Amino acid sequence: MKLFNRRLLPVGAGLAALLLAAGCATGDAQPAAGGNKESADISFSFWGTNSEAASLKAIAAAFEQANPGTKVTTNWIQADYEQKLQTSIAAHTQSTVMEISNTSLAGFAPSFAEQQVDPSKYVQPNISSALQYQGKYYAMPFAAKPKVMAINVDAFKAAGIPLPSKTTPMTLEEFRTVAAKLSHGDGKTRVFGSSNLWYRGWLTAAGGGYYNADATACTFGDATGVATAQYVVDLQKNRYAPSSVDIQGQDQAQWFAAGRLGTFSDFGPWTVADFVKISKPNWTLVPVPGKGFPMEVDGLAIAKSATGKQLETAKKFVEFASTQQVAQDKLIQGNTALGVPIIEASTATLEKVLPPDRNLAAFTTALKTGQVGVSVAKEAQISGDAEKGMTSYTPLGTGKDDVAKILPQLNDKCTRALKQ
Amino acid sequence: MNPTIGWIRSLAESWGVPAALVPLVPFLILLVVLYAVIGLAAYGAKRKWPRADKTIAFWLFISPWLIGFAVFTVGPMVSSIYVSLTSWDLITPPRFVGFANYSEAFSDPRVGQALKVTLLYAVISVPLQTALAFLVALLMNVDLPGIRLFRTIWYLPSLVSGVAQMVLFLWVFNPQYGLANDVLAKVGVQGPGWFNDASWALPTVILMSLWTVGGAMVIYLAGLKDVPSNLYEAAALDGAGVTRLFWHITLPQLSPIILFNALTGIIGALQIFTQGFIATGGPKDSLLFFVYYLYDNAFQNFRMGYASALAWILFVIILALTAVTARGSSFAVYYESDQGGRRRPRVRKG
Repeated sequence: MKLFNRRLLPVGAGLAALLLAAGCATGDAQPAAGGNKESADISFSFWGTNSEAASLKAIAAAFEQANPGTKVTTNWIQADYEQKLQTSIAAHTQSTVMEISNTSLAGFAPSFAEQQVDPSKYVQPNISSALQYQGKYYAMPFAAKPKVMAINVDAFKAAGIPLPSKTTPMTLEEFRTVAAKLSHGDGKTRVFGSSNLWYRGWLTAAGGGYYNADATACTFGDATGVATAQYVVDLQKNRYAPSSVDIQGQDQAQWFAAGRLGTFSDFGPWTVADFVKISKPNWTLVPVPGKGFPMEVDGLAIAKSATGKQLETAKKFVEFASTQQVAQDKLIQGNTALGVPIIEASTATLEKVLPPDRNLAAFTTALKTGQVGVSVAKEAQISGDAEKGMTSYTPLGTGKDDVAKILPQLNDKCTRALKQ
Repeated sequence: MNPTIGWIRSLAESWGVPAALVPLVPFLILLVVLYAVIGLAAYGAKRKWPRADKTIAFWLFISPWLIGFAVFTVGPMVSSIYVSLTSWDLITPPRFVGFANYSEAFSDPRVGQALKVTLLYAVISVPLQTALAFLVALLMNVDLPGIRLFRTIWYLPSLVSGVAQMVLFLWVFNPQYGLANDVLAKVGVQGPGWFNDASWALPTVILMSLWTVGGAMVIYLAGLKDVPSNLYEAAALDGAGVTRLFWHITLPQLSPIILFNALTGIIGALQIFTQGFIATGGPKDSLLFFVYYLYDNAFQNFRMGYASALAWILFVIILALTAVTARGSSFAVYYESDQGGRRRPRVRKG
């Protein structure tokens, strides 16, 4: 019993455990792959659905085949990608190569290696510039995600409305008129001319944006922002588009298939898989009205801590995924697509997934005209707070306050957060 | 990866250990080292190898939990104290800022809102849950055919995880297509916006919390079964009615269990997270629970220092409220082992 009285043992055990924990928690930064700097093996983290993961695994396999002796260990993070990426960076266990979107790049740039990117290799200059932060490239682009709009051809014909151009976007006013004409019925079976309107998307379509060009101020509370918010609210109020409460827990693609939507405006490359199953009503794709929705560009970043052969392999892999047709073609798996290929040689691959009357070429058009926003370091926090305010207080969400009063207030708060 | 672990792994690979077992090798080696440290500490204390000492056996048996507690609870807690004194986004190295995070928390209006929402939830939901669970336990204590089936039905919702519950109730309380408003419409009442209405969101979560009183109900039921029947018989002989039996026997006998359920209920209520997370804080921050706000700062805004400071503030609040409840309720709680203010000795003397 003397041992118990001395209390040395539990203290010793506790201290040893703490020391072990501390020893495990610290150490030199190294990419996780292999743990051996002289190994050419790399690891590659990415997010996505099953089909998106299949695309990226296929690209990794194609790289291994093209470069015998190299190994790419894939790390598919199915949920909370950025949180897990950030914690892995803090723990120095990040992958050698990491997928990153242009919108999130700024926040992660300090942990990414600078890269050399040749803009001439891509179909348009916006694609490579999307992955620049403070004048330097921190990721190499490999896929673009422009948005297009699906239209219910049968509904247009039934309402006697001429089909919109397949290449030239409607104006916002033309869209409002079309949505009004397509809307009819009451209650739970009402047919809406438009799907739910994504404010940030329609703000870009109207020529506005969340931030100014150098990301020093927020701009969604300016005249364009307020007018666009009023446009969205009016369409909802007139029941030409469902509100956020109407679509809660609902699948709008199913609504479209059931003939309850005349147009579906938030249509990304990955949406193709859902619409392939829809044979009736007849549908086709057209450009999003106005200047179109913001286009996301996804890139591949290399861990700043990567060195030696790992760094060499990582650079080769990133270049391969970004610029080689064999890799770019793999963005399309079956009848779905992770994104639109960004090199000229592969742009036709997506268009061939469905018959020409579905007009998947609209994606190629959108890719060439796509609007890419600036990358902001605290994007999730700043835009999250702004959107939370909009949906809480204004009819853009479940609130009732006037957008003309609330948006400028939120805009000022957003600008202050941007400057902190 | 830690260089030591990396080195052990590469050593294991060079020994020809199968790839699937390689991650286990550093773990096992570290475990052996840890037990060696403990053994040495024991030796140092006893000046001999402690082979037949029961105390050593005790420590060895308890050591897996002790190590887990030290590594996974005390370690992170100590670490979070340091983190709370820094500004850290996980990407760039932490920067020491002293008590700036704490002073920011005291002037942050959203902390005030989070505290208000969380305390309001705790103050309303805990008494309601306690009362309902007690009432249901009394009902389930009646000896009727098929009563076990009813007990199971009441307990079943407690097995549903928080996220699944919340998703289910989002459907039930969907203003357009939900069951609740459909039923209300049938009796001519226009239902509210529930989770979509800032003034209804918190009451909806409180209402939802009553669905899972089965867990507490089972504990009350066990307590009710444990009340000696001779107490009821003696009181009945003295002419006590149902109300007196309940008030003077059932309630005092169950008072320690009520206190236990109230304490765990308060702690659980102050740590509520899932409902706020799924509803993303609710309209106008009506569901901005404290832990959700903490999470939001840590994993949405990546402000680890601020989030750690909030965690410590919550820890102190829970500690204080638990202490106040435990102390304040001592006059109302009856312990069978208490005899004239003196506790019965645990081990019989002589």
